[in-house]
Amino acid sequence: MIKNTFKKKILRWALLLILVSATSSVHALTLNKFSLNSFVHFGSGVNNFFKGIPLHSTSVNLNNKTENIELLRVGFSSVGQSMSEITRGNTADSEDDTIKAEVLGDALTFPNPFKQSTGTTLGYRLSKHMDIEIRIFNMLASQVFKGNYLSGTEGGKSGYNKLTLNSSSLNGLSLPAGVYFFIIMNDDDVLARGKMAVIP
Amino acid sequence: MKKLSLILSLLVFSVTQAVAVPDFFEVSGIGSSAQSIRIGNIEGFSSFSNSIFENPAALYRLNKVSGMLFTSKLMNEVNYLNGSVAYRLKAGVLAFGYFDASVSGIPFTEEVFYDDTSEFEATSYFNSTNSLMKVALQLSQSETLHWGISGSLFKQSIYTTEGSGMNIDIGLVIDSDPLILSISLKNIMSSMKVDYTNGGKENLPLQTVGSMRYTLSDLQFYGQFKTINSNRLFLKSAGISYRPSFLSIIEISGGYREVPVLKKTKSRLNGGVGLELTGLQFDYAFEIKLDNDGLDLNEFNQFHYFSFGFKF
Repeated sequence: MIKNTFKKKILRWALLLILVSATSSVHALTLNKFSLNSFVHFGSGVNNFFKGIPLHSTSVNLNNKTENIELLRVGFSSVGQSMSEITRGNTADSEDDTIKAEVLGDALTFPNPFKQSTGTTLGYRLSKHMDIEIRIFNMLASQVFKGNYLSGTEGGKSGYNKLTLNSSSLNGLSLPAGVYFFIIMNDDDVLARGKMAVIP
Repeated sequence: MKKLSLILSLLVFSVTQAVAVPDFFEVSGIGSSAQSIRIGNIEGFSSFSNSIFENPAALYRLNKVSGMLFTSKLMNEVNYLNGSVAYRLKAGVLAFGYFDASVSGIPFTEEVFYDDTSEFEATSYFNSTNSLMKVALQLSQSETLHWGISGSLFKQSIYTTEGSGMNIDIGLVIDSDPLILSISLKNIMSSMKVDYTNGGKENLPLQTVGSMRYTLSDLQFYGQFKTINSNRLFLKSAGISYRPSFLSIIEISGGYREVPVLKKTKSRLNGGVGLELTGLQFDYAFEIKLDNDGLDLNEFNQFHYFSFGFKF
């Protein structure tokens, strides 16, 4: 009797496992619709997860443990975020057509003001993936920088984008101290504009 | 004249610049008046006090007293403003000038962290001003030969960082109508720099400006070359003015100028009109970029300048 009950339990678990794996397979079949970027995000999430675990992660020190748990949470959070982005990718194409191309909130540089030697980061939130063009002008309205960022890459992806601006962005040329003006464009439409100040 | 040529040549070629330090942005690069800009920003031919920003020797054209105001706003962001006055003394002409470019509402930012991400937020706003103060003295050696010297005080304020520096300009005008030549050397003290409160430094590079005007009946033809910044960029300008003899209160002009953009130059086309009424002068100039870098936005490609002057 005991053996039969045990066999039934094993069968039930086996059936459950088969069901779960079948569901996963069906899910996997839909992966061909996912964009490469989604995998990149997923990859970066996984990468963050592994990068987040230091070599001393097996430490028994309580403080370290707490720290490691937090790192794991951050790591999983990145993976989770990436997975949700993959899921969203299924409907991204149809959604993107209806979403207006815009910069949500302010486009800002941090730090501001900044030294050109240390550089600054331009941050802005896009409503969807789109090709982006960024231009920077000096106080005489002369263009000193132009950059293009493809849809889905950093600078042109849906969500918050961060772009580093420093001496190398200008091929090593030094900008005089002063105020500079940037515009963020998509298809010749200005989505956002802002100012930044360079100190020597 | 030979001695003079030798001194000028020595000044031009003996001055060396340190390239490692960036150049200070000089507000006067935009042009000192709508009158000058409408002929391609040709310097040294104004008969008003704004000559202090161009060639102090050109102040010789003043009768007794003169003043001028100039304003423009670029990209709906940068306010340019200058004012100058000049007064004739027994020895020559004394002039004062102030020029600034100001920008307001620049965000001071902080990074705000959310779990594994961060975004930037503006926590306050600040203004920035770049200014130039000048004092000049003009002396005439003869009806033909005129000299001028001016001292410049440069200042820049960006948030809590402030910078200041001084330098000297010298100028010469040879007036042998119908041909007039103007030569000026700006920032001749090449070792002087703009020092900032954060320890930063910027060069005040030597500028050499040579320009000419030739009058032919109702037409005036202008040409200019200029070398600026530590890269010794060579900028060319040309212009033409028409003042009809039957209506001499009006002058219509057109011009071409090159402006520096880092290590390159870009071309701009100018035009405008001047109205002179019993010692009062009103000028309007417009400017269009010849190469707009594929950007079709008027505020970045077209600019308007206004100036008002008087002389008695």
